[in-house]
Parts: sequence; structure tokens; C-alpha cells
Amino acid sequence: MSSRADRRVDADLRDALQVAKGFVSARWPALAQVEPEVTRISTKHSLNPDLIVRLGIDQGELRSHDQAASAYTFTFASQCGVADGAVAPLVAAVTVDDQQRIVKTILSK
Amino acid sequence: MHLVLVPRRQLQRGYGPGYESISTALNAALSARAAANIATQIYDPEDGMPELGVAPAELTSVSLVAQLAAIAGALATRNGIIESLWIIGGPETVPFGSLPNPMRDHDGPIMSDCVYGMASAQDLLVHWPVGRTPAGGADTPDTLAKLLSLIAAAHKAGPHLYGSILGLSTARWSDVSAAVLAMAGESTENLLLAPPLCSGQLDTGRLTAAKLIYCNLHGVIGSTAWYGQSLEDTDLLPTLRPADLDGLRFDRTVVITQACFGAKLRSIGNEQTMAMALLEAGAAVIGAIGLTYGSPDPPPSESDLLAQHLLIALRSPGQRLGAAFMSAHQAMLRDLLRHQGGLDADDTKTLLEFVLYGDPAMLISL
Repeated sequence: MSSRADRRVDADLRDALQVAKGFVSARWPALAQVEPEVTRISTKHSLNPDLIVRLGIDQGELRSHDQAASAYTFTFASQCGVADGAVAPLVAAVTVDDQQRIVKTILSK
Repeated sequence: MHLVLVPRRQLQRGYGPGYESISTALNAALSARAAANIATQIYDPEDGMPELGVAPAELTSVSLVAQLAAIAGALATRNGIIESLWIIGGPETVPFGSLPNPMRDHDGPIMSDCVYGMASAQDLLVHWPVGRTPAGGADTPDTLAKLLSLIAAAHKAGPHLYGSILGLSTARWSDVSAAVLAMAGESTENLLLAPPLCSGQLDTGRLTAAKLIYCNLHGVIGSTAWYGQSLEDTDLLPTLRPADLDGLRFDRTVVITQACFGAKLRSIGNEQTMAMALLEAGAAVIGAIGLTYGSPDPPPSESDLLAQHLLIALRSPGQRLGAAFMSAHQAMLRDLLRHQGGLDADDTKTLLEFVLYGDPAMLISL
């Protein structure tokens, strides 16, 4: 039996997915039928502390970002044909935060 | 010290009698380095470095990384450091390192030389810059010999004076590319858009006059060309093909390519890749072997942000090629941490996947 928290997460994910799909379909119709891979982002990449020191960054500068909200990244990956017979990769990754706002969009080159 | 990884035995095994021309060209390049006062130490991994107590290693990325760590450790006890690492030979001789791909983009593992600078998924920055002079494949010793001769000539010619910059961008990414140039302090008048720019109709005079070429174009599977795209996100159009470079010289020019697969080396059919064509024309090339990313609109992110910092670093006075490459990565990571507090999967992939084809100890500007 799923908990209330689990159901809340499921609902958040469904809503975020709809936002991402709507956005991607409108901008890149070739990705409209693609089911995205989903990654939940609750914490950022954990870096070697020595690396932070080497960069000369004060830990205090990083702590100001500690309250970052969780988000989902939806990665839509496909390919499309090019007129000369080649195949172009087409990957769009859209990050949607817990307020259902698109906070980042990237596209393959 | 500037370290040169020369897999002599493997090159001899791979090229047979053809190795002689490679050896001659390598000696010329090393002499030119010495004349340019670059303190160089050569080693063959299969011999190790007995003088430092470092054992021989197989030519696998895991063994080579362990051996390099041992070399760095041994040097540290003598108050020495590795200032740069120059790998002689393509991936058929010294394989690229393989790192987990943090993105769910079906691109496979990240193939990169950054592991030979001790970068990893947790420690994203190299401890010393790494560059590579690849061959055109196992059957073409002449290519490696030619590239080494070009590097010898470049060292002899010395650092170039302040040269012009040229940007080539898809029309779709014109705003991002213009932002990259502007944030690097460069004029957006030096940005050419594709379309209207297309293969076969390039202003070759303007192209060869540039000492720094920044390409924000598409790369695809099954073609060696780099492609443009109109504002409407429609079909891709060939913008730069290896054949467009026929007869052109790019000596002591640095080319930054953000194209997917921009650093691929293996020919497609009988056509060499853009990276190999540029190297044979005398350029150094910075690009990625796999999928690359950027924001469709400003502000610059991922490979756009890296390109911006590369443009800044490569124009810094007295800079060496590898040091500029390393310093651009540091600047990008510093930016990301300050603005985001951490990294996304795409940031991580970008920081790990770009490779440098060229001699990292090359002095590139006055």
C-alpha cells in the first residue's frame, strides 16, 4: 500500500510529465511521441571536497543553494533523418520543478 | 615537467616499417619543443619509468591511469609536477578513457582523455592538461607523421600574434552564439550564420585568416559534415565538409567545435572526419566524441558555456594550449557552482567529454 507521501510524489511526477511533454511537443514535434526517461533531482551532484578547494570557492557560497527544491528531468531521445541520408540525434532534456515550472531546457547539438 | 606518452613498441607493432617516418617526425617535434624551452620527459608505458621507480603498464586506460598516478606521486617526492601530458597516437594505440554517462540519452559511456589527467565522475577537473595527436587509423602511419611534423613547425614558428576570431553557428542558435562571443569580449560581427552559409560557398579567405574558429553547428550520424539549421528548427543543412577544406591551411589555428561527434576520428566511407581534416590542415581541435548539449536560447549553458570560457582562456596572453583548455573547464565549473550550487547530469557530461587534439605545451599567444 502506498503512503500519502508516495501518492503525492506520483501526482507531482504526473503533473511534471504533462508540463514537459506539452512543452517539448510544441517546440520539437519530432519528439511528440517519445516517452521520456525520468530522473528525480533532489540533490545536486556530489563533488569531491578537494575539488571545491582547488577551485578557490568558499563553502559558504555553495550553502546558499542548499534549499534548492526537488525537480524532475525528462529526457526525450530520438533521431531524425537528414536530407543527405545521414541521421541526426535529437535529444531534449527538460527540468520541471515542484511548482511545475520549466527551469531548464537543453538540446543536443 | 611536460610529459609525453609515446607507445613506441605498440606503434612499431601497429605500423611496422611505417613507424620509421613517425619516429623521425616525433624526434623533430621533440627537438622543436626543446628549442622552445619546454622541459620534456618522454616515456613508453610498456617500459615504465625505472628512474622514478614506476613499473611498466599495459596500454589499457585503467593501467595507464594507475601508472600516471604513480608517476605524479614519484615526481611529487622530488618536488616535481606533471605540467601537461601529450599522448602520441590515436585510440587504436592508446584507448580513450571510459566514464559513466550521467545522462539518460542512450549515448553510451563518455569516451575522453580527461581520465589521463586524473579526472573522474567525482573529481571533474584534470590535475594536468592532456592533449593527443591521433593517427588517421591503423593503416596510415603517414598521417601521424604529418601531424607531428606540423607540430614541430608550429613550435619553430613560435606563438602567433593576436589573430582574428571567426564564429560559425546555425541560424537557430544565433542568439546563443552571439551571447558566447559577447561574453567572451568578442565582436558579434565575426559570427557567420548557417543558413545562409552552406557547404561549398564559404569565404575561404576569411576562414583561413582566423586564428580561433568557434563552431556551434550540428553533428550527425553517418556523415562527416557539420550542419546548420534555420531559425524554424527545420532540416539540417551541410555547412562544413572536409572537402571544403581542400587546399586550405589552418596552421597554428585552434578550432572549437560544439557539434555532436565533433572529435570523432574514424573515417566514414572514404571520407575523413572534420576533426582529422582540420588536424591535417594544421589546426588544433577541441571537441567531443559523443552527444553534446546546449541551451537553445541564451544564456549560454553546457557546451556553450565551455566554449565561452575557452574563447576567453585561449586569448589570454602567454597561454599554452593545454593550460587554456584546463582553465576554461575550471572557469565553467566555478560559474556553475556559484550560480547553481551544484551540477546537473548534463553539466557533468560536458565537463568530462571534451578532448584536445594537439600538443598541450604549445604556446598559443604572445
